[in-house]
Amino acid sequence: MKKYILYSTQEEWNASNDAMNTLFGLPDIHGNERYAEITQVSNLGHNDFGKYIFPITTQGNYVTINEFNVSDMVEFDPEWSSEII
Amino acid sequence: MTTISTTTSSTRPGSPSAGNAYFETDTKNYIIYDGANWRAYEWDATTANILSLEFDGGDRLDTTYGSSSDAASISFWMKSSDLSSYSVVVDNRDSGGTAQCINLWRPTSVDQYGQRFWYPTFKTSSGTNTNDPNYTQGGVILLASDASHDDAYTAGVANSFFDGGWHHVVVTLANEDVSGTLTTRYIMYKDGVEFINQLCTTANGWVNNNTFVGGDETVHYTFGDRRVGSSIGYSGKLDQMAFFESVLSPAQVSSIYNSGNGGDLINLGFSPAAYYRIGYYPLEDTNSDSSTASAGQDIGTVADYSGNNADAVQTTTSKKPNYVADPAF
Repeated sequence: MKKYILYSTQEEWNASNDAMNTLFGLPDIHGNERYAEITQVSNLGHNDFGKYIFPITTQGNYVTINEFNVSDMVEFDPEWSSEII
Repeated sequence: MTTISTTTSSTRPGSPSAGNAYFETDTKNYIIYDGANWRAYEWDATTANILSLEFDGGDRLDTTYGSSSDAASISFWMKSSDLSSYSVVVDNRDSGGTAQCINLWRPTSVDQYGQRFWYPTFKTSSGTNTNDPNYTQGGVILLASDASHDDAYTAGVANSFFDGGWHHVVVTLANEDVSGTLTTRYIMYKDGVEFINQLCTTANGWVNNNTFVGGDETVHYTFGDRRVGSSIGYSGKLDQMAFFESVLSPAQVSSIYNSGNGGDLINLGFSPAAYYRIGYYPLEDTNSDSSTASAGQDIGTVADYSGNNADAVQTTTSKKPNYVADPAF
C-alpha cells in the first residue's frame, strides 16, 4: 500500500518528482513517462486543503519508500477529495 | 472417442505414410508426416489463469475502449477487504465528469448518508441518471449498510463483495419497451446469481424515466481508479475484466462464473468488445520494462484479447498495478 507526503508548495512536489524521475531514468524507452501526477487536497473542510499529494511506492519496480523520511509520510485519507462522484 | 497415437522423438515410426500423426510424449509436440518430413507443432504449455492484478488504491489502467452502444455489460472478478475509503472499480466519464456508461463506485464503509453503495451511473438524454436522492449524480443503491436505507435489493448482502474473497461481478444495462416507453433495465449479478434487477424509473427511486442512450466512443474506460478528477482508487485485486456491447443473459453469466480454470471468454464463445484476460498464460501483457509480465512486477500494458486492440496502459510509474500469483480461479 502506498504512503504519501503532503507538500505545502508545488515547488516541493516538483522537486521530489524530478528526483524520482532522475532516479528511475524517466521518461524511458519503455513508455514510462513520469513518476507521479500532481494532485491536491481538494476538500475545503480538510486541514490539509490545498496541499500537494506525493505518492510513495512500497512495491514493484519503482519502490521509493527508502528515498524519503518515513516520519514525513501519511496514509491515504479518503477525505482529501471532496468529490463524491 | 478418437485418440491420437503416441510416440516419442526417438521411436518415431520408420516408414510413415503422408498424413500419419502422433502425439510425442517426451516433447509434447503434435507431429504429422507430410510424405517427406515430420512436421512438429510445438506445445504451448497449458493455458491457465495464473496471475491477477493488484491495485493499491492509487493505481489504474487506462483503456482505449469506449462505446456508444445502448446496451452494455461488464464482467470481472474482484477480491478486496478494504472498507477504509471510497473506491472506483470501473470508470467511464468525460472530461466534464459526466458519466457516459457504467461506472462502479463504492464509498467509504459508512458514508455521510450512512450508506454503502455501488454506483452504476449512465448517460441519458437529459444527463446522468440516478436513483439516489442524496447525490446529484449517483446510481443504484446496492449495498446499503444500515436499516434506514436498506431495501429488498440489499438485505443481507451488505459488504459481501468486500469480504476478502474472490467474487464474480456482472452488471448489465439495456432498454426495453415498457408500455410504449423505452426504459432502462439494470441487472447486477454476484457469483453467477442475480441479486438486483430493476427498471430505472421514478417509481423505483430514479430521478427520471429517461433511457440509457449509450456513451461516447471517444471516452474510454478506466479500471482501478477514475481517470478524471481526484484519485479515488480501488484497493484490491481484479481479474478477467471484460466489456460487452450487449446484455449477457443469466445463462451466459452462469457460464462465465462456472468456467473455472482455463475459462477464457473467447474460447467459451463470447465476443467481448474489450477483454483484459489479466495474467492468463501464455502471457502477452508486459512489465514496466516491456518484458513479459510476471508476478511482483509493475504492469505497463495489459493486452486486450478481444481483437479490437484496446490495450490498457499506465505510463505513470507510481500508478502501475502489480501482478500477483493469486488468480481468481
